[in-house]
Amino acid sequence: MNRTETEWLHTLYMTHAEPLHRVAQYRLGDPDRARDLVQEVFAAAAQKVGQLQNHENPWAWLLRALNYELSHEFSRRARQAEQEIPLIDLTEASLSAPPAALSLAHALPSQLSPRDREILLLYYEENLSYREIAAQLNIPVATCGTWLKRARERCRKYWNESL
Amino acid sequence: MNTSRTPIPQDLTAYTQEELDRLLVLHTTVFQEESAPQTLSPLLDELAARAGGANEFSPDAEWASFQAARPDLFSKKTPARRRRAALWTGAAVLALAAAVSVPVLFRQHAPEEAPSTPVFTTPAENPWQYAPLYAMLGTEKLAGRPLRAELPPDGQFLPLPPCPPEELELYRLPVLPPDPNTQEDFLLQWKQKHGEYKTYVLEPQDPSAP
Repeated sequence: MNRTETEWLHTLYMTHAEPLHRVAQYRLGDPDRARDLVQEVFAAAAQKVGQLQNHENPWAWLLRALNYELSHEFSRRARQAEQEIPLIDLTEASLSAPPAALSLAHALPSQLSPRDREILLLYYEENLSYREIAAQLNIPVATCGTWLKRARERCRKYWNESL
Repeated sequence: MNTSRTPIPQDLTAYTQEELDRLLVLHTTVFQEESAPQTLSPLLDELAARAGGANEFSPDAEWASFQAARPDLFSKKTPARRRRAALWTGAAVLALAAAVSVPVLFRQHAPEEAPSTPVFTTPAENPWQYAPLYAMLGTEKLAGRPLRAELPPDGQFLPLPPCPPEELELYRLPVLPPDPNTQEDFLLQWKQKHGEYKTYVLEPQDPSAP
């Protein structure tokens, strides 16, 4: 990174790192690990700073990167829990997976169709790309974007009705 | 109800913990494109207040820690230094290309010069010009060692000038007529006529001998 990019990233860090850490801390329940994930997110941002500078919503980009790191962290904890649960303390076991209320599958409105739910989970929880989702669902890539947009609109509609 | 956006409610105290959790998850995933740190802040404040934990994240200290932990991401080369380095690299490449190509170009277009070595026309001036190459293969011109040569027995010999014995062999080489045949043709004819060559080993002559 050159000086301009470093200054831009520094400004982004000053304004976005703290709320990002709060989100990570709340979802993980571990402030130190949340701090590590924030550093990982900003390391990815530094590597793609040119792309990020032209992004219409850098906060959304950071959140998506954080969700990617969170999903890896949850998977790692799940594997660790499967292997070590007889040996570790119960308090550590309770950290091995996110609380049910903090999972996207639980947060999505129950009125959503299975197809909408599946594509939202694949994109926002599994962090798959359009191409990967299209391959998994055996649909064209353009159709994947259309389905995702419609699922997001229906999710918003049902959620607003429930508030 | 406006369904194009999903704002976070202003008063969050009336919401249950589960609703707040779902709100946080949805606004950091499905509705992330329309969220911002400022809009998410009241929700995070409410969640932190209910959890009772203090947030100890210091952006300044964390930024310094981030820079220290990942020096590979923060290059010290400024754009001006990069431009200067690129300029010097380009100049070096051009100089190298010129150094390689200029002598080749000049050599191709240089006028033909007179040969630096004199051209001898008679065998007396330069016997080596008319000596067969293979006749020189067996010669050794080392001081104090025997000199050997494969010589046609009936070759023409130049008169011997006074010289040291180790150089004597040079003047004993046969001088073959340049025309009408080439040396190879002449030797082939000689070989067909006389058979294989014989090898003579010439010992250096003792100048003190009578």
